[in-house]
Amino acid sequence: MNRQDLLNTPVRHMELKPNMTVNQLVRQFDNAGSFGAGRLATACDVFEDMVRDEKCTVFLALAGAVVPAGLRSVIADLIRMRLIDALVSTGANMIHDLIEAFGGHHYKGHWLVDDFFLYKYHINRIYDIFVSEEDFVKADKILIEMFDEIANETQGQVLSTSELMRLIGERVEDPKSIVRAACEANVPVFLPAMRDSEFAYIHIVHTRRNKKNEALLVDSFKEASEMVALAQKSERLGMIVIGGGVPRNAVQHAALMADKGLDYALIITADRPEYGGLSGSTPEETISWGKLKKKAGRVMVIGDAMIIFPLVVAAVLERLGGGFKREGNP
Amino acid sequence: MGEQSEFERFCGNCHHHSMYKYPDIIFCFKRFEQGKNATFSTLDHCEQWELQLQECFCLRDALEKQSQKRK
Repeated sequence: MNRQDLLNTPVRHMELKPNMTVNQLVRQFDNAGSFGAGRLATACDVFEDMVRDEKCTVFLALAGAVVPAGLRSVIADLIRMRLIDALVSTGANMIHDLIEAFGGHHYKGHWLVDDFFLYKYHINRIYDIFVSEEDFVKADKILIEMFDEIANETQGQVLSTSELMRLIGERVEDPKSIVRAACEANVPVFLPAMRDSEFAYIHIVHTRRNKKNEALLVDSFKEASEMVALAQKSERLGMIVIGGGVPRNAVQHAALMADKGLDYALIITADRPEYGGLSGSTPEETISWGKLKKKAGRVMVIGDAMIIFPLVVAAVLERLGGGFKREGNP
Repeated sequence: MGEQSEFERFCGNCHHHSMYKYPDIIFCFKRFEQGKNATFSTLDHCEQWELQLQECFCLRDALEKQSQKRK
């Protein structure tokens, strides 16, 4: 590499016009190519490449409170369009999806409130979102009764989390539900840390309501084999990460255990690499583990997923156009 | 026992209550675990009542609503 190689791509300054579309704005981000705007533009390219690659299985790894914050419909729609082939999520995001599926709501609130005052009013806070306790309780009741029904139906069979989520999805009527959409689109929903969510309390109460040998049995290890099998069947693997944590690690690990490594990685996180955590680790660090291929299309965008992800999705949907059809993999 | 008897018994100041319809109806997971009816008035109570000293607004607001109805 010589000096001229380093100085051959000038920054092209953004030009903003009235009535610009999202993709036109992203193209201006690409012209500048700098900082977060440049990363976001690259994220659109990586996502577009992933979904246009007919042989790529796209995993969405979902962590952080994005469903209560407002991304529920975006994710459900991506699943229905089969732009996502597998969802790997925290239990919490699915609980919040189900709260709304059963008639509950998340409310716009504020972060500067007296939290003890909220406690006395039976209101829970997620930064600037409020959720009433009764919406949790109603969802708990319905899900406990579903667990009773599923346990009766499966008669001692040990379920993976994806099998359980499919059985729940069959019972959900709300067409806007992520869990329902995944069931209808035949997209598996893996919850590798399901017990670290309201599902654990639901299971405890279900177990106390039923005789010991009649309670629902869920084996978290079983889904690991399912994820690896899915990765092995696929020619290429793509990963979109919102947040990080357990879902990101589960997808990366499945790619490694399938002896493949990921071909695409789009990571949106507010975390930083300097602290050594998984959520802030760069795609390049992931290469050192064999979880991401050296030549993979990749980008990490540091920022608020509630801003970045909708922009990426909107821009790519615009590029794909209304007539784009994806069969989904495998 | 002596400490608990100072307080009038309501579902709304019971250890086991959660909200079901603020402020009127609570949900009792203890009874739900036992396979019993679990939705009760905030102003009700059962033989399994156990005091929770940190009183919620639900009891205050349920009592206020009741006194308004009686006027």
